[in-house]
Amino acid sequence: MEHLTEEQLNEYLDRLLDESACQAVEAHLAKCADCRANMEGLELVFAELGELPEAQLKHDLTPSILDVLPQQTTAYSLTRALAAQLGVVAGTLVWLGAQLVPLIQFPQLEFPRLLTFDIRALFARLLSIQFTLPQLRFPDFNYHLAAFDLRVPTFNFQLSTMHLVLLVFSAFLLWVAGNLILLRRRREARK
Amino acid sequence: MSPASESDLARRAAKGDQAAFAELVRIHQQAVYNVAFRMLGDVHDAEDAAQEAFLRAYKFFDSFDLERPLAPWLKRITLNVCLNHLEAERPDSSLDNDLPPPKDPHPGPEAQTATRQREERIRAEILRLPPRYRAVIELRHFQDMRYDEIAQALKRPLSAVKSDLFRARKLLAERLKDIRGQ
Repeated sequence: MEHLTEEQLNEYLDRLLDESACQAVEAHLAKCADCRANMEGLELVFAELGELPEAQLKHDLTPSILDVLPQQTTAYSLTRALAAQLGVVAGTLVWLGAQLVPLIQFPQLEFPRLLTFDIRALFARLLSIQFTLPQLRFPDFNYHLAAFDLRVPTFNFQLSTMHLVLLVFSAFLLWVAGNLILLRRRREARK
Repeated sequence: MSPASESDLARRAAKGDQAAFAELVRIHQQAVYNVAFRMLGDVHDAEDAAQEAFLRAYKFFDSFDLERPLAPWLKRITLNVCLNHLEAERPDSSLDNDLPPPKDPHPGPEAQTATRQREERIRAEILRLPPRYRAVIELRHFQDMRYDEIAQALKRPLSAVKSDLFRARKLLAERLKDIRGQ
């Protein structure tokens, strides 16, 4: 008589056999004492392992684990907010550069004959896109109270493109300075 | 603890919240310690292994899918830590070789009830198994993994895992047959 294989016995106990295979194993076990003995040995292992109780931890491991955790430095992961900020910074720098570069006079450089070209002309070509904003004008204010004959002083305010450039650049410098101060304070707080 | 609150703790721990991580340690340390104790058989070694497992988990939290349960992942890390420890302890022998019976993990004058003796005997026989066999027994019987999951966890072919498991069970069956009727 052919005996059951190790695989059949184990998979039967692990409940991995389909119904017909299970029935075949059970039918064989009913007739074969050797396979029944092997099965009982395995069933004992399953039972003993299944009933083995948990060992009790003698003390809380948390304090010792926390003591050796690496001190968390500012986790600088690329979040959406950070990516947006970096995008704004990059865009601001490009825009500022486009505004400022045409104003800078580059000296004409002498190159060997074969490579003679005008640096300024090169930049002019590269930055041929004009970034000009319309001039902004605020409305005139004139307020007249008949009874008291008061007049609020009027003011005309015109913003040229250069003013805007300088304003944005100043705001950018303030933003960078503010972040550097915050970063330094955070590092000092963690020490 | 509900999966949602554990997931929330894990999310906070992944961002560096040590208080959240400490809470996760308290929740899972018993289970992690038991994996280590079953694999190593010594209280101090098991505590060290559990500690190292948690430190590794903290380090690699950002690579873990926070929507999945944490316990299986922690237990797998612990198992790998234990296998590395066993390999380091016995560099001249492979993870396949049978080991001599371990020293009593609970030395000292303690009243040994019959039940306690039986438990100690079973633990001792598990610890006598080669580390690789111990690992498959741990994953199948104590972590309820399927054969293919064990193969993936141990990075071994399915056929090799089945062969190790069946062999490990057979060894245990032979060594524990006298325990029948106790």
